Amino acid sequence: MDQRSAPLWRAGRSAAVLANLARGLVTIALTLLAMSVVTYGATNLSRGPDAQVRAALGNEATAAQIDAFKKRYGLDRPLPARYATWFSDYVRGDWGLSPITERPVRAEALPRLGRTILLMLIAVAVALPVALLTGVVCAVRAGGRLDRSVNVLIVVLAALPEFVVGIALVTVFAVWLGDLPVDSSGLLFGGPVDRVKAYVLPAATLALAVAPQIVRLTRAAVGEVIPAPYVRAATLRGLSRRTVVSSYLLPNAAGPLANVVATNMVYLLGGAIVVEQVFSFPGVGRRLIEAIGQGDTVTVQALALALGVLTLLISYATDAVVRMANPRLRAGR
Amino acid sequence: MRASVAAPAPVEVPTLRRGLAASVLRTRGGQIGLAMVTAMILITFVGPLFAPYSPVQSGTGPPASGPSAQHLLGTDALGRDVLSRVLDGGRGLVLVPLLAVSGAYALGATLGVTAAYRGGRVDRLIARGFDILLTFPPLLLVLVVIAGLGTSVAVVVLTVMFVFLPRAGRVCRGTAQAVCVEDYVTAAHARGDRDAWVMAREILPNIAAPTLSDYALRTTYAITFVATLNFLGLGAQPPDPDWGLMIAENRSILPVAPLSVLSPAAAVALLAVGLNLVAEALARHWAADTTSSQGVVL
Repeated sequence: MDQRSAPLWRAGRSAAVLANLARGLVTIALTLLAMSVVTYGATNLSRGPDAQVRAALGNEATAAQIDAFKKRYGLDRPLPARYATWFSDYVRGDWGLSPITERPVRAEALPRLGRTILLMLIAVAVALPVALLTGVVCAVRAGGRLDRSVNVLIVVLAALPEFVVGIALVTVFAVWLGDLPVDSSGLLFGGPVDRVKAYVLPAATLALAVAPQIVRLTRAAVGEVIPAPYVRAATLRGLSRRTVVSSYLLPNAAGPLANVVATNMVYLLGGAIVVEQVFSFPGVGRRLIEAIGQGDTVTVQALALALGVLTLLISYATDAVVRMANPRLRAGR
Repeated sequence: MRASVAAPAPVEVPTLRRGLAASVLRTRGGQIGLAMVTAMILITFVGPLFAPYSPVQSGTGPPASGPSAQHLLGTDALGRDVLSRVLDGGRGLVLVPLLAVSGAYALGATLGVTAAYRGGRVDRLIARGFDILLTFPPLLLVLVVIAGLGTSVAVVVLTVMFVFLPRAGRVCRGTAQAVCVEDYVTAAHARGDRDAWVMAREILPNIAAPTLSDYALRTTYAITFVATLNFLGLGAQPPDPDWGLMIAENRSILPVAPLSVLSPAAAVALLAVGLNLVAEALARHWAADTTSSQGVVL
């Protein structure tokens, strides 16, 4: 944090900061509640208790077996009551027992959640600096050769589904060049080197999935500042291009730029689910897809809500950073 | 922004239709994109007539084999002809997104134009509704609905429509707001036209052209989205020859028979990239800054 944002923490402002924080927490809590209702409601749309029993026991279970199963998993109670129990257990860390694997969902999910988060972090760490730099250079040299070729690349990349990008990378780097593994199963069975290699292609795919929009919007955000009178004045005073960009353009484009980053972080999640499927990456997204296929409603509910919370945290964390970095937004909306 | 959107006065409406094709064809990207989309649509709807085998017939040749005279693109893991499956596998990827986005736009335009025209409490209510819908991560929302309902064409169309509804609605509302202050709307109002008539005859035709580029862009994203659902095994089901599903099914034989994965991947890519190029050309023509600043959908 630079010196200019120091007054934020002085006594006079701290009340406003606290009020902001409180409002943020209330919004997070309400959104979390809404997400949990949607998740629980949607997964119970038609696959109510009966479908869950059938998925676990098969069609030939006897009436006594079905009753016992329902009692064991609390499926004999009405929907609102089941929701209330589920949600209060969930926030206290009990994510339930999967009727398919007969193991606690949370214990199974946590290591996978860790891998998914690490995958996202690597992708952001790679994509963000490259995308921001490319966007700024393109905006400063708008219409130039680099700008035009980047523009074509963005139109192509933005339209491609993540799994097509992933397949292309596997074909080139794993099948043809052969330096990298064709999937990420090395994470579970391989040594340290295999484990590092298992992250390379999934992270690259995810980075390519989020980068185009960041480049595009960065270019637009910086491009909007360029016609400003103070930029012209700085140029006319004979300051070097580097000084104009770093001292006049970037500080003034910082607000919109930070927003660009914040809005695009949310798309990481959908991307991660797909990328994990392409590479058989043992993360939480792949487990979610698998559970949907198996009709494992308990696991689907727990993981979907976990991923929803993760999205929520990502967007609020980036939003908080944006506000702290930009004095104009500090007062809060 | 208002000035640029409001500029096409009613006098220009007849010329819009001619301007549309011209605006796409004026840029090189638009030309290439239109050629790609036309080619893929021809392949999708006429191609099946030229398929050498039945797309679902297994054992037409040795499994997971490379290209040969009998199988130009090789065979998949079950010995099905990849070329026949690629020719037959695109219809869902054209029709489902088109239906979903059109539905989203029909509903979104109704709500968005009403919000812009009525203003006040109605506007706040509708705009807030769109905002709430936008907070749900799209893929996650669709996943839980499919987990609950199981999958079918109707479920996929409706859930994808639901994902795109607030996005279409916001664009329509924004564009309509600029049109609502025009003199011809006030005039229609003054001569005693009914609200529904004013919205349908004065506002709707004048937001149609600027929102068209956004419609094309959303359709691109919807194609990507539906292809992704099929790839995840949550849309089209085996033995359907769908491009997304083919890629998932043949993923494990990629090192042995790369064409069984790469040809459907190329098909998806050509369709989506082509449409995105067309959308880009349209957007540039109408300078609809609504699309460029909205960000991506997925």
